[in-house]
Amino acid sequence: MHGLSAVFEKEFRDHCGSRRFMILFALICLAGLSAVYVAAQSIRSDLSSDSSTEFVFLKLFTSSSGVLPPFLAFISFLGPLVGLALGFDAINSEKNSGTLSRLLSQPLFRDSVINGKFLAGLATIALMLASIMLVISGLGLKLIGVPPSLDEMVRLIAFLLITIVYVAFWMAVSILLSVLFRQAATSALAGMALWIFFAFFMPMIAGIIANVVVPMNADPDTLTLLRHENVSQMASRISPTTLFQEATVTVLTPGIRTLGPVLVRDVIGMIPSPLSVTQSLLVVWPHMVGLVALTLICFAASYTKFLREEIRA
Amino acid sequence: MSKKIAIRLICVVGLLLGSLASIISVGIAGAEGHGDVVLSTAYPSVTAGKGQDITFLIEINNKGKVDELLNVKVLTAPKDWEITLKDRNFGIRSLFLLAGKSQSMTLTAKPPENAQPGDYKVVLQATNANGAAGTNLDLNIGLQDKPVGGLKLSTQYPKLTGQSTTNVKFEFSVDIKNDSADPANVGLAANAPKDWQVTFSPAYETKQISTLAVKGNETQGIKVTVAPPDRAPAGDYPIDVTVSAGGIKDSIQLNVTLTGATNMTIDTSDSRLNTQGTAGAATNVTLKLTNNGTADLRNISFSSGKPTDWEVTFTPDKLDLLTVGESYEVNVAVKPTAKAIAGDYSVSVMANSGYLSKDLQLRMTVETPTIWGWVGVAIVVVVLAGLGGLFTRLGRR
Repeated sequence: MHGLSAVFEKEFRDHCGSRRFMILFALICLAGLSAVYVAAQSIRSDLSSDSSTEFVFLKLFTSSSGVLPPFLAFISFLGPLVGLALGFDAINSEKNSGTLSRLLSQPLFRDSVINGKFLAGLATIALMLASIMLVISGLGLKLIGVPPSLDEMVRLIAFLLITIVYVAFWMAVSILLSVLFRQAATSALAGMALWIFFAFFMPMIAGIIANVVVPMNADPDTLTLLRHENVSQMASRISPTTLFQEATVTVLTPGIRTLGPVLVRDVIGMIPSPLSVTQSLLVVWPHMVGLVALTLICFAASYTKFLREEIRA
Repeated sequence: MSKKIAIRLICVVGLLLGSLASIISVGIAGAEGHGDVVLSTAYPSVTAGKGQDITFLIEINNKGKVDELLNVKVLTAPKDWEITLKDRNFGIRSLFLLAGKSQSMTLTAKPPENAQPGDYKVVLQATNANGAAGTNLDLNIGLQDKPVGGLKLSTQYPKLTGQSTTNVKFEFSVDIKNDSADPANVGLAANAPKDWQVTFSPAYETKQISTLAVKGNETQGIKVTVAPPDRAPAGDYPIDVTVSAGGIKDSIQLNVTLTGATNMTIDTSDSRLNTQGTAGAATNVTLKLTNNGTADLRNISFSSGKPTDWEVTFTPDKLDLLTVGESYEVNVAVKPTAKAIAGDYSVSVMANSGYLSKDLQLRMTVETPTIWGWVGVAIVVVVLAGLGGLFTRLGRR
């Protein structure tokens, strides 16, 4: 345990002082602040005309005026970059510069190294996202003057946790890649490739998969359409990006009741009203479980690989 | 009477009425060469109804060549009768009549309330200033039991029927006919069962009136609005409407037949219209039916409007009898389909009895069962256990 805390402290200090971290932090902060500022402007004009003042605070994070995408979109775009940046050279750069064998000659267990690195990265991510959220909430509070309700606060905390897990997932992926590949550049590129694949190509591939599984003729009946849509959605949910987006949108928008296609027969008798926090969380519970499980599996893989590896001095 | 009295009967043609009328002229033959003074009236003998005032228009004419100062007084009158001699607003005791001129005045005879039918006589006397000469006019009044002329009430629909519901009103159209030539100020009154409200208004207006003026020989319609009290029991109710003007009155009986009205309210036992439940599990709501009509309700059945695949069960599923004023509680089990999407739904429950149907909208918040949440937790626990297994197997190298 002593070794773990030493590695954790050292890695955490390195992360917080690194240029890489500073640049990304500044980038997200700037993007977030501008997005929230623009959103607050449009919310203020909406508030004076619209009578609905429900969940105004959440709109800070989800609404946009068209000039800038909402904060949510920025986070889902920049979050993976942060995760990749924090982990892509975790193991292989130390291996290449020969510091790893020197480190392992110290009286500490080998798993402390990778555990410490992962936990330090996780702590850095949590610190970064929490501080950004707080700064943004403060600015939003000043701009719109409506304090968040308890319900909204719980939703924001849930959003923060989901985001931390999502960024941690990409960090776990990049640590795994840094264990697998010898060159830091290779692991960085591989990480970028994975991210681009999941973020941009997966929706298209999901469509193709759905077309193969449920062929659509010129005039498909409702049942075929429904099956096609379901398959397409399930396929796109292979991507953690989709999981993250669906989960955060649902948590931050109480009006969303379900994800996926809804038949008219399901809507009969439905009254449009916001869901409670617990119900919103239940809707995206599988997503959250999936993200946590993926993160842990990636970490477990890198852990296994790292511990079985021969490290020559 | 010691004086020489000459009575002349002159027949003239009645110009105004186009019929023959006789005028009795009573002349004073002046002993000292005074001209003749004549008291006359167009109708010296009349009939009148009980309680009716009798009015004579008296004409006094100086046919002589000398101006006269005349005293006029009622010589004889029936007991307790009130006789007044008036010209416009004041009573007359004497008058000065230039030669060849005439003067008219009004004699009003008001019989006492308890006057018996029969013939009565009023004698009016005019004497000149020295009191020597006098001339009399006999006025004969035949008093009858029922009024002559007067007011008549009539309606085309004296019986109205309706259900005894809240705010029900019955409107009768009643015509008031004034048979006399004189305009009458008609007072309106009604005698209705206890707590019933009777109001009068002009035929096509909403204002409430208690008197109205009816011109001579004209008919005026009024609206009599009868409002029974809330939840009056079924039955026949007579309402007597009376009109009166002076001593003349007439009344008419209007009838309202109330039939029992069916009505009920449906509510939850605690008046809460929202409930909460889990998808796939039944939630119980207690409905309260109240018969607040005036007739018993029979064969009450229940139905519901619900989202697709939901189940709504009533216990009991029907009710044979719900008497007036009674309440009954019915249990409703609402079971959303297991696949219901979380959120609020509207469910309506209906109670039907004959053509009477009442519904109630319930708002139900459906929650998804948390079982899948625990499955998720289990997955995470399994993954964590796997990680722990890895730690123990591979760690501490």
